[in-house]
Amino acid sequence: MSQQSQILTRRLDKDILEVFIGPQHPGSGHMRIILRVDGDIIVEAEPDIGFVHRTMEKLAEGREWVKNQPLFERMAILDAANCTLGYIMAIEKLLGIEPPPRAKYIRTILAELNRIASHLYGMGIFAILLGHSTMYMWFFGDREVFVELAERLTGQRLTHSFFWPGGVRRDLPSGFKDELEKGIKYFEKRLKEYEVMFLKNPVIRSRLEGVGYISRQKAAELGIVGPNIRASGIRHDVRIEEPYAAYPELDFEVPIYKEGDALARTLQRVDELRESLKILRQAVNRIPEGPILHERYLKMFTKVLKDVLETEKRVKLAPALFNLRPPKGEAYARVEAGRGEYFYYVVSDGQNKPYRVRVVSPSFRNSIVFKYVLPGHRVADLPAIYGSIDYFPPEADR
Amino acid sequence: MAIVERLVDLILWPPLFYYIIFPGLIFVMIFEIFLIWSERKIAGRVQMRYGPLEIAPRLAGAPQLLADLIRYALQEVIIPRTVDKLPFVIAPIAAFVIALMPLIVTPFSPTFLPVTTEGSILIAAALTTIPPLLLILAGWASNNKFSLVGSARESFLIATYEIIILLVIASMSFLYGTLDFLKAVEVQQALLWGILLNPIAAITYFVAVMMGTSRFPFEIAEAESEIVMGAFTEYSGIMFGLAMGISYARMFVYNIIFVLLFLGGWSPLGGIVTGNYILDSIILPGASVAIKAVLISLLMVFTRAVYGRYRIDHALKGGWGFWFIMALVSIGLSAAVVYLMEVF
Amino acid sequence: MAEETEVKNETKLPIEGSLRKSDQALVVKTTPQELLDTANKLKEQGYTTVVSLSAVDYPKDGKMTLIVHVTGYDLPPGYPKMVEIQVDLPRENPKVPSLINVWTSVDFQEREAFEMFGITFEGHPDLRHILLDPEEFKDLRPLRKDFVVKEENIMLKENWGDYRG
Repeated sequence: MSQQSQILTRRLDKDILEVFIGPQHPGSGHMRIILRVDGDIIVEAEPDIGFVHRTMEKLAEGREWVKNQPLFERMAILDAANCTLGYIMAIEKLLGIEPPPRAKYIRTILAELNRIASHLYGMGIFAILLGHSTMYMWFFGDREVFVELAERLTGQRLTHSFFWPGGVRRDLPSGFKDELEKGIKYFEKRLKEYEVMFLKNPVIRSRLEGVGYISRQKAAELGIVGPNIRASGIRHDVRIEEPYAAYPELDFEVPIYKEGDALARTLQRVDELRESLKILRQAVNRIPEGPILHERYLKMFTKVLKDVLETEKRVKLAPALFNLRPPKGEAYARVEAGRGEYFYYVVSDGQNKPYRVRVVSPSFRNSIVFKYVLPGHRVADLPAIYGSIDYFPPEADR
Repeated sequence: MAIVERLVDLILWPPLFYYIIFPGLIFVMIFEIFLIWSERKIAGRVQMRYGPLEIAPRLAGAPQLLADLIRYALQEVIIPRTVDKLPFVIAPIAAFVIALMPLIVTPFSPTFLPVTTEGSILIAAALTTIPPLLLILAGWASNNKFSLVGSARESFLIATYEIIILLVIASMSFLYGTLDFLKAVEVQQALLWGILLNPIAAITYFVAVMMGTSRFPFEIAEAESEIVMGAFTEYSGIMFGLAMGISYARMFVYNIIFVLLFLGGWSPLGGIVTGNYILDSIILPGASVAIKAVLISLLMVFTRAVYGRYRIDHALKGGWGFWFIMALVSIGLSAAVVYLMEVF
Repeated sequence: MAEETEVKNETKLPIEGSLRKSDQALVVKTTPQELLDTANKLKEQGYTTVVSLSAVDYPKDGKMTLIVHVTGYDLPPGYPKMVEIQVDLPRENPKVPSLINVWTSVDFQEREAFEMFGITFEGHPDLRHILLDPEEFKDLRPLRKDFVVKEENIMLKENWGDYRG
């Protein structure tokens, strides 16, 4: 008998019911939470993740360095820019190059567009878990604004594959600034409506207040990341701790909440949406002129490629570019994505394929919450906690 | 022509007409189709989308539920091996039939009703309490953990809302001094609508019915993100469609009672005399009762677009801690109104 | 002679190690016996959270390196943001003491390293598979270098008609 089934069929105490939430359950993603409940109270919770596991770390070892970008995007396609930026930055650290300033700003713009889209997606799922179908539709409908903007910038709605070690692949399209301003203005109006409909809704508030409380100390101990740890009062944000892209030059705040419950995590996300709008506005106004790719590549470019870069402002990729060979060594890079901190650790042995890529995604680190926070809550609190930590199974399983 | 007249007579024979056509099965079906369609349309309007549109776009997708029903009817009804078969099959069917039974005694016009009895309010109130018990039976017979949890939640809720509803009905029959819907409506026509005589009772009844027919924010017993479909998790095909219809049928019946007790029954259209028997005794009064009931039902389903879902302990706390007391207060208010009526 | 990639630890953190030039991480090399000691020392200095716990397999050198990345949220100024603990292990039956009593956040990551590399963490209360199927990957350790992923051809050129059935 296998290990797993031994655990699943072990003898339970009297009066304890074992409920399997997932994987075929309308309230779970591609995961299973095994709940042992005494009446309505959860006594033990066991997250069983890995239903969409793809062993990306192994697959990455068999591809050329840059070709891993489309692979890692599949962790969280709704946050594709943020979750691949860390990988690109780790390669840049190995190569010892820095992207030109304009490329850094474009990276920031795309990262923030993705962050807003990711937050809206997570909150939409959260709303439907609480039975609030209107907010689900509103969040998803308004997310479309930012997905379309990302499409204008990169040509793709979700899987952008937009970065390149030492730059980005396209310049800002003409008229992008006005469209972005239009989108921001629309969204600022909508944020006020969200408040009336969702954040101040008495039913929603009664579901969230005091539920899933994580103290400051426990948050640090469990190693949760992203809006979840900031809602517990720890100002942990890679954008200010280890600034990357254009963040050190931009003026923004990282809001925190002290309450640490599901409501604080929700409000935290809404506050971050406001900050992201602020960053977007600044970035698009302050963006400097200049090249979008590191000059190191220009030497390798033929005349035709240079012409395309000059006139069409996009990088046409030569096959030779894919045979990138970073020098021997190791480097880590981390990035603040919508759900939290992405950590990449790459080991190079001088070949055109990585020797080892370690990726830790925020949802994987957040999944520990189910085990340590759920016990003591009611079964009906599960959707509130599950939704409020914004857990995304493909991201956790990698 | 004699055959046609015979047929018309047969169709208009009150027991048959009443139970099959209006306000019985066919009317309830049309009502459900309209109500579910408008629920989805209203929610769609609020949620920046169209709602049902694919089936007959010119009718704005109105026959969507008919299409759904055909699909349900053609689907295989899976009866799992582990269920207790007899109660599993009987429970939803019996619940649907009994949910419509109170219509036997609810009058739609002063002259046209199948069963004339002195205790019609009592009978209607008693019959409305039976279907939830069958839902609990369905959950128990399903032999599924989610069904069991759903049944347990339903049984907690029954204890709350049934007492509130019965207390409110008691307070109104105390106010009118009768247990007969006909007399209750007569009193309202002579005096004032019940909602003005005892507004607390009306609001309490409204909330308790929302709790009882699992409308948002009290959609707790079949909370999808927690316990899949509550007591109906194991049902499929037409049985599932039937199970879904139960709560709408119950809401319809409760709202008919609401109209008769609080909204003056068949006034104002019931007072018009045209001389045509069918028009005077069925269509005009019946239409006024039905339209009021539909409007109240629409108000109830609209909450889906605004609210989330309460947790069961919040709902029970609200039920026992606030609405139960309001129900007691409404009895007191009725007593005060009765006293005032006697004084003046 | 290659370029110097690591320099001596000149940060204020009183722990021996070397700073890596590429990303400014403090690399601390230790042995399985001293791992718990190092971990406790780091925790006392304010490194509260494990970011990543994994390993790198070096079959040519006959070793496997356990790599733990640790960070903290209220670090005094001058401390490195990221500390990297490296522990060399034998490839056959690698064993290290579990860090779960020092850092709770290591719980699922140790389970992942166990299933991916076969490293036994002594003292972990619940050491079993987390992402992979425990039956199918009972003896397979996917992230070791001797586990080769079979790449399937995009197009089956020969006998493709057989597969169509």
